[in-house]
Amino acid sequence: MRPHYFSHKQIVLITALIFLILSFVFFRESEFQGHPNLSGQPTLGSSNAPVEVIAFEDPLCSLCIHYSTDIFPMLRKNYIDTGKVRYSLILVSFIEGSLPNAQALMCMQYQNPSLFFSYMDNFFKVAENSNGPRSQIWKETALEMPGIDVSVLSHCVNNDTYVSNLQKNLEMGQKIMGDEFGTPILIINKTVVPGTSYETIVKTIDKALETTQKK
Amino acid sequence: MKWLYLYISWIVALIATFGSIYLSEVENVTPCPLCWYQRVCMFPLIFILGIAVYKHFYRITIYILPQVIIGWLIALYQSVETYFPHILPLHLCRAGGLCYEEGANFLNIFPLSLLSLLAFTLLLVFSFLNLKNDP
Repeated sequence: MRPHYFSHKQIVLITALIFLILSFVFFRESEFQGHPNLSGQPTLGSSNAPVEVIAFEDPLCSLCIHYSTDIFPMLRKNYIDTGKVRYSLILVSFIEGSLPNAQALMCMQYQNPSLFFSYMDNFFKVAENSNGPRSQIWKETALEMPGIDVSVLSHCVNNDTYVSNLQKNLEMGQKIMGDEFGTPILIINKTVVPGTSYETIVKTIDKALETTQKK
Repeated sequence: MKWLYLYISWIVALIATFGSIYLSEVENVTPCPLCWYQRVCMFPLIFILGIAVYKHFYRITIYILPQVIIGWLIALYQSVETYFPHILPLHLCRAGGLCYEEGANFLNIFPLSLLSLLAFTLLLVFSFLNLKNDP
């Protein structure tokens, strides 16, 4: 049975090498499969922007509050407002007490989309500093902002109008990222990045910009 | 001949290990609890068998036999539960990852429990062939 050309040891080494190369080919990049459905989701930035960023957030997750108050404003100023990035937000709700807040935010998006991002910015500022009940931060925020009809938001929250939308969003995130799904998480073109470090996010966006320019 | 048996066993372990990691890491199929026990039995074999086949150390068979048998039994249990769910009283897989759902398929044709059973069966057959030829 001994092969003509190679010794046993050579065959073993060649086999190991083949599997090593195959593993590099298949595991090189962890790109997600498919594309999230963005219809109806809050979006910022030019539709012609070369890089697409999709963020998943839970309104009450502590890292999301950090992301939204400290990282997102810089991202918005340097990348979204300059036309480099088109930004979409997908709200999910899995933390205790976040459901009314997530529903109020969704409600704002559907009832008055032009106010969504300013409402969200204020929401996270209140969430960072408020000592009130966590499930009522949406109300505290709405009462502080002129031009917002609290009764409309209350109606959405009390009737669970957007529970199924939020559930669909969560399933979408889990389907795309599997076990790794958590918040805040960003999909930058096709690369998945946690929303915890501005440097990492910027590095990934710059790399994506470079790639699109080469094309 | 013994070398060939050992070599094929190693290839089977390599394919099973890389296939399993590919499905969980790239295709995002969550391994269920039973799948994890089978992985525990399978993954170390790529190193153990690799060194044994390189060094012509045929007595390795007896050392790997326990984990091959345990892995085979778990794969058998899972396959039986997948196809005859009412035979067995225990249902270990429901809470965790995908065991019986659509995700646990390779190319939508082969259920993973059967592939695992096939891999462990091959390992078992080659192990016994090697033991039988032991002087």
